Amino acid sequence: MISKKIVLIGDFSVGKTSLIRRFVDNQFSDTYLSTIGVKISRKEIVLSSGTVQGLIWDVEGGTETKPVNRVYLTGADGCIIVADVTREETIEHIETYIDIIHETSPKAVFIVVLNKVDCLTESEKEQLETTLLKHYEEARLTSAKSGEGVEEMFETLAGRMMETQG
Amino acid sequence: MYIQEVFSAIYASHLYEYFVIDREWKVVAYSDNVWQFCSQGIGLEESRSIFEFVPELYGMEGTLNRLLEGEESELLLPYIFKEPEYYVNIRIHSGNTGGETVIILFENVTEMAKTQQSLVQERNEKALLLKELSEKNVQLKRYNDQMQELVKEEMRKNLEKQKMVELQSRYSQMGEMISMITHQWKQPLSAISMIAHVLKLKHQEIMKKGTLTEKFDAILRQTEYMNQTVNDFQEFFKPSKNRVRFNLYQTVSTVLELVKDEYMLKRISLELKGEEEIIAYGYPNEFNQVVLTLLKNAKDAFGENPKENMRIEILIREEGENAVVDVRDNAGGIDENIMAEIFDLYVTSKTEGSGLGLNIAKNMIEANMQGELTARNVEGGAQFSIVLKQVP
Repeated sequence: MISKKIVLIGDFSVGKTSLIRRFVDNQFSDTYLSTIGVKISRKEIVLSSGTVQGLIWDVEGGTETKPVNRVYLTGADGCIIVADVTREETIEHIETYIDIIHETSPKAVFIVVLNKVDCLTESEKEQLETTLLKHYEEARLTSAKSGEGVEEMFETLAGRMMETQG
Repeated sequence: MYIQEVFSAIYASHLYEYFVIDREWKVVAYSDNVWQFCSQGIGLEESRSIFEFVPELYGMEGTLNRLLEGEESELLLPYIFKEPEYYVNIRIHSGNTGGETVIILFENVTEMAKTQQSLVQERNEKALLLKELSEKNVQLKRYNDQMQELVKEEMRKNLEKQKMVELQSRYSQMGEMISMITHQWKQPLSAISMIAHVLKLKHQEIMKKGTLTEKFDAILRQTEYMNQTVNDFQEFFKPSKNRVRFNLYQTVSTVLELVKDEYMLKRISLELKGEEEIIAYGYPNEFNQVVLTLLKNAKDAFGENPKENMRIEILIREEGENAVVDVRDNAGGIDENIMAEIFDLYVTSKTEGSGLGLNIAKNMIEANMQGELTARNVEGGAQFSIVLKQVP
């Protein structure tokens, strides 16, 4: 089975840990507990083309004074850039994280994730889908709280990693 | 001598554990308690790949190679969480001078990480709270502004209503006064008329002589005319109670009949033309007052800008399903700077205007009769157009 290093990056409190928890354990908690350093989880991702052993890195969120530690991205096969739809500045920082990926892991495939869509109305979601999501090659709306789009997002990334890296 | 032996000696009784791996990433040595930082469920033994024990190194083969070749001296992976609740810093060093081994050192920083975690937690929560607070402040300010706008708008409406009520009361008082004058005048007029009739009958013989008959007939005509005039005034100032069908041409004619002498004195010509059969639906006396206001405005404009050939034209026409009354003058037009607000309360182009007339006129036509009153400048003057729904 092929192992792939998947790193989740983004501003603090955008829901990186919650997305992993939803994907790996199918659990969710509303309590915010900030991540320090990094925590690695494992999850097998079954695709039609085979199974991928995901080593999922939950990296401490970046802040204005403390950017994400680039060493965690060394050797990443895939990255998930997470932003919070309720906090505009986290969406504005997506481009910064894309630059970091290009500099540290140029071969990594990445996906942009707008999390917490459970806070939006259906029409707001449609608007996001037709505007913001079109800016990025691969982007998804997710809710770690409801589970919406989470599994599909990880599977899409794994599929793209398999396609491009084998 | 292997450097790992030195490490073993130094770190044996401290918070540090280590692996030594070779060029093929196989474990060649390790400290006694290093197992506590390894992935669960994997038995610790030599000659197995380091990636099985330390998944954090997966994908870092390039970095490990550079360490072996001496191109890099150290790599630090800080604050790596390990089940059940350890935090370690993983430091990777070149192992010996020959470049044969790499040392992976685990430094237990759990206490430091926990302190760090509570600080970061506090900082992040504070940042989120501050952001929320700032958003609430913006929201509050927006509500406040909206509230102030609403209050201002309500005050403006109230003032407008108050002025309207005052004006209506003034019209009503005027109506009552006219009614009293009418009442007072009617009796002497009837008396004069009767006396003239009696005198004419009694002195028919003398009357036959001619001139005197003509004079008595003139007295009778004049008294009849005065009688009709006071009736018209009385009717004019009586507010309409119900919406009715009314002929626009005839209604405007009545207004012109009442004011024509005054305009003639001021050398302003009044001309009514257009369709004579158009019927509108609404309050005819209020409509009269709107026409009167428009005529008065034109007259006042001429007062401030007297000229030869002063002219007010009133044209009654059809426009689709609507009836339109255009009141057009050649008094120089409205200042374009105030054109957009000409119907607003207290906006006037006259030096001594109150800014009430047009506002009330617009209200009467638009709010009471569901019509439209607009203004624009035309060649040499201004044109006001009253649009009302035409009825068959």
